[in-house]
Amino acid sequence: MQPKTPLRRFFWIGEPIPYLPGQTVAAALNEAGIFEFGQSQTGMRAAVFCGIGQCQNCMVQLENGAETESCLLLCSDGLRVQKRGFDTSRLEQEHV
Amino acid sequence: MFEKHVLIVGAGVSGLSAASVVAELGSRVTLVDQAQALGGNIYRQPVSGPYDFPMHAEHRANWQRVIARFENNKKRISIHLNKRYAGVDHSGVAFIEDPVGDNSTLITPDAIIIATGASERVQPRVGWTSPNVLTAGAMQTAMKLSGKAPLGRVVLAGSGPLLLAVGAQMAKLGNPPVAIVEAGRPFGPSLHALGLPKEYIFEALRYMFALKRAGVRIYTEAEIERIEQPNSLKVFIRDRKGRRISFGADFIGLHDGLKSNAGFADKHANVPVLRTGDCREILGARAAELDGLRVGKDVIGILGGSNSENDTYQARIQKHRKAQKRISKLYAHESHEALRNLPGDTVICRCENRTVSDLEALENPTAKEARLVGRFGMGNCQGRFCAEWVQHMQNSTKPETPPQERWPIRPVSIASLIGAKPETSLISEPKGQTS
Repeated sequence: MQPKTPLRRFFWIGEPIPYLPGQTVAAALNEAGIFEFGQSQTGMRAAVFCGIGQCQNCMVQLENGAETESCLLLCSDGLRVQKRGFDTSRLEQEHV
Repeated sequence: MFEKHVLIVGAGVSGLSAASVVAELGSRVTLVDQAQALGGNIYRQPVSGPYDFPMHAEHRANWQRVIARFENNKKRISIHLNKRYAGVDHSGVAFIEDPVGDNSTLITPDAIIIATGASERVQPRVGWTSPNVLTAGAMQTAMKLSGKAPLGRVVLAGSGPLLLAVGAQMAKLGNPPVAIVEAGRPFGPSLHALGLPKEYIFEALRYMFALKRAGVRIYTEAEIERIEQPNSLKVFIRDRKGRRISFGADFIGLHDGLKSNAGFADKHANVPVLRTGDCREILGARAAELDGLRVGKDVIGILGGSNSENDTYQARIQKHRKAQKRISKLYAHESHEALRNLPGDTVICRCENRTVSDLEALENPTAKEARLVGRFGMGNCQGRFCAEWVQHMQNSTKPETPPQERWPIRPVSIASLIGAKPETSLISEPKGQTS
């Protein structure tokens, strides 16, 4: 049996977000009341649109700088995710 | 002994069925899917243990059959979930990205079967880029994963049987939509419905019954005039006779039918690349199983193995092709007038944030000019969502050039590209392992 209360957390721009095992980052963010995941380079709002990895409207940035669809990205404990084009060095400074 | 290696992209009904038959005929399969579980869109599996998603009983039985056959052949199938196929190059090297871990891989299969399912058509509308406006299919996917209906007031709008399915599933999960707005006239007196196979009619009746019991209002021959977002969403509806009504909404699910899924950039690959299921032609879940089996046999035939008795599938697939044509006629409606009347600031290309005015400023461009000068279809989705509308709106007499498909077929990180290892690491990975 999976625990009913979510115990695990990933980090959205440094903020801990609870998730259920198997949840995608997009689903967990939506459940936490976050529906906008930043912007594309051209100013388009990043959010779930197609939900199956075809439209790339929900792209987010990983800690290593890679960008990927949040509707496909699986939550894992301690995963760090931020808005596209987010300056990660700023985040690191804040946490030092 | 005849043994080849076939890469199958997509673990939905058609991909699983193709994998089963390729394995049965003695070849090895590498099966890649970007989701975390087998099943594709129609049989998407819940994330946290089993619960009762209100799936139509016939589909439930079909899934049991597809997955049982697949399980029987698993020893020749290497399954890779949470991995993303990024395309094949001219030398036959396929790139499988692991966006999170460091297991990105280059593999050189003898053939590739693309089984990635349909794309959703969503026509641009005023306000369709507002927050919490998504596709009806995305809502359905989220319901299948979580077992929960979207919260709050939901309006489903556009055209096609999926709107009724999503609405009925929401009703069964305890939050029926506020309204379903259908541009076509599927319930009018029509002989097309009478010619549908009985399983199609039963499924539709079940959805209609659930919607009626939940008291869901269904407006036919009606369309969204605009979506406003002062504080929360407000959707304005207009029907064919000019009557208007508006709703407050927390979420809006748009859907204008399904289309095959282009853009795999494999024209120049030096290995056979075949397509099966809805990604090639919208034939539905029932035909996807048959088509997967057919294409699985075909690929073995092309590679020089035996592919006897493959004709038996064609007649059965044809039945579903005819059914899909009837369904299209049931839902047929004029939709391009709305497209021509969109105000200038309406976004057409979501990836690049390009508007009606941007397209008009190009003054009757060719498809190539719209792309290269206007950047329509140059974004991450490579025009998957806007190319159809751009083509209609160009109103051009100039000859069309087919959309340019670009490798990689999806955004991949340079780190993944540099770090990709040759195929041995993928093949030796334990079966069913997820990253």
